[in-house]
Amino acid sequence: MVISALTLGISQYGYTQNQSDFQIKSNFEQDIESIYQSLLEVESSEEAEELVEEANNVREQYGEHENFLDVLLYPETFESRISYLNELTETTRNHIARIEAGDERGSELDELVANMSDTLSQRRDEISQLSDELSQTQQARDASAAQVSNLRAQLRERDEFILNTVDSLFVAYDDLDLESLSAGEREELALEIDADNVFGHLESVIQNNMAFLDTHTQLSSEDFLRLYATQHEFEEVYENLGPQLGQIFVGEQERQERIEQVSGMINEWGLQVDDAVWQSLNASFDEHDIDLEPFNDGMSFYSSLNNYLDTAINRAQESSDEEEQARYEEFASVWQEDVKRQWQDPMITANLMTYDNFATIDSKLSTWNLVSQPQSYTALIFLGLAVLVIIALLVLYLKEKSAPAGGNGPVPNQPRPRQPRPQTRTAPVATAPPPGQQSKGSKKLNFPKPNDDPEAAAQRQARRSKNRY
Amino acid sequence: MINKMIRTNKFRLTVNLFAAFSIFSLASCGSLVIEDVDYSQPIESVLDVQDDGSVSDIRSGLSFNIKPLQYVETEDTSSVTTPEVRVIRNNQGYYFVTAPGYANVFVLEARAGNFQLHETILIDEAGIDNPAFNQRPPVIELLDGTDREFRLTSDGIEEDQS
Repeated sequence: MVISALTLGISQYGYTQNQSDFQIKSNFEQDIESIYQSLLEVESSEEAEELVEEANNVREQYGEHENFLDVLLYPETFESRISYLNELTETTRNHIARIEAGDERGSELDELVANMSDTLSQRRDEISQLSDELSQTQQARDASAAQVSNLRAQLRERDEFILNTVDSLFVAYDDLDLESLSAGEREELALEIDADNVFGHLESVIQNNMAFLDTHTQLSSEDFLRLYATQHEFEEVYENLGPQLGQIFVGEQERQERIEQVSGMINEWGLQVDDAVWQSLNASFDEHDIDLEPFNDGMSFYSSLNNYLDTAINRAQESSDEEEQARYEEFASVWQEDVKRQWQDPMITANLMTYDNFATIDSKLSTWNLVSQPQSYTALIFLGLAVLVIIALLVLYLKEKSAPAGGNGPVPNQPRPRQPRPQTRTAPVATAPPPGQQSKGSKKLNFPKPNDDPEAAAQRQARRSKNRY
Repeated sequence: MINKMIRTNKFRLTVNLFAAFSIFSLASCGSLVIEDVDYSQPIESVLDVQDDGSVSDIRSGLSFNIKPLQYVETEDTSSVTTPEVRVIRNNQGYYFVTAPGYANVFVLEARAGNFQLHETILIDEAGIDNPAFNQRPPVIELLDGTDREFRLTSDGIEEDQS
């Protein structure tokens, strides 16, 4: 648009007749100025090319006035103005061309960035989706945990309700002499209480608890302990109350069968609770690749632990090394962190194991620790040195012993044996104490020992008598 | 006797001294003239007229007031009646001045501190719509904004105008 207007303007000025010189000069400068302004606004190589052509047109249109314009443009010239204009337009054209080439490369980069952005966006969406799924999973897990907690609470409430019910029945009718009641009274009593179908509730409690154990294996030791205590309390109460309830609510023909049926269910429930406990314990050891003998109750568990530790101690006594120590540390970790911390109190409370059992295992564990310590080379070195010293002393002793006692004369280069000094004094010899040990006014004398030879003592006594006279 | 004196060297010396004195005297009296001076301005000056009628050419330093010329044209100098004037100087040094709407081209002779009207050239009684001067030695070309061209000298319009 700009270029077209410029072209039109130049044509008008260029072909107007009877122009004044002033007008020609003004038009010339105006045309050049218009091209300059267009150069500032050019955006494409096509527009730049048009400006190059316009600069050439300016040269053609005003060329006939070159001499005149040279005078008017002094110190510039027409040629210098046009050359500068051509150079500027061509430079601009080349610059625009380079920019457009760069733009093409930039477009490629933009496209690449766009593709990467799309990919990134997809990844972001996937991450968002995964986050949502993870959140949902988390929520589901939380919901599951909440459901478990809720279910556990419901079970507990139901257990308490049932136990309270049977307790109240037991308290109410424990002293009741059922045999003395007539059939009508029994029926009336049954109708009064059977509204809730006590046996049905008992079976329902048992089934629900068993189903709960089937579906929830990742329960804590406290959960198992509570289930275990509930089962045992239930079992204990039923053992006392069940036959009497049967007399009240069940007909005679099916009474025993119904009572035994519930009793069997209670036993099965107890076994399932036990299995859950032992399975959980076994899983703790399996996770650390500790292969214990199978166990399904307190005794077998204790026996399995003992056997494992005995075997380990024997193995360590035969050859202790770092691998053995690592095995010990692995077992000790499971024992201390998983078993004792989580299960010791519940198991003792449930009479599955005793304090003595745990103490025994701890003791064997300490023994295993001691014998599994890698053998110290320092001790071996000291032992070796001790043997060498003993051998050296033995050699010296044998040498000393094998040397002649009197000899056939002095051995060359050996000190002559010191001859005993002849006794010249018969009086008791007082040995001078070393300087500094003799106190002033008192002299410590060395008397002959009481167990000296009697013959020598008699000689000394004779010498004393002789000297006296 | 006289002939005898002429022939003498003394007389020759006297003549030479007299000639030299004469030349020196003429020069010191301002009669020095430099010939073939071309005053032609290559392109006309288009000067904006100020409210007081003054105009000024930045390039040449020329400045003057057009009100005396306007008075000739309109017999009124209370206000300026033209926004611009066009000025060009011919090779002889005469200034040619006109403006849009003027009927005449004024030929002014530069004097010390003033312009002396040398000639008033009537172009169009109705006024020149869009006048423009071109330097076309030895004449000044006047375009009136139509197809008419006038070849002007300091004394008027040349006879052989196209």
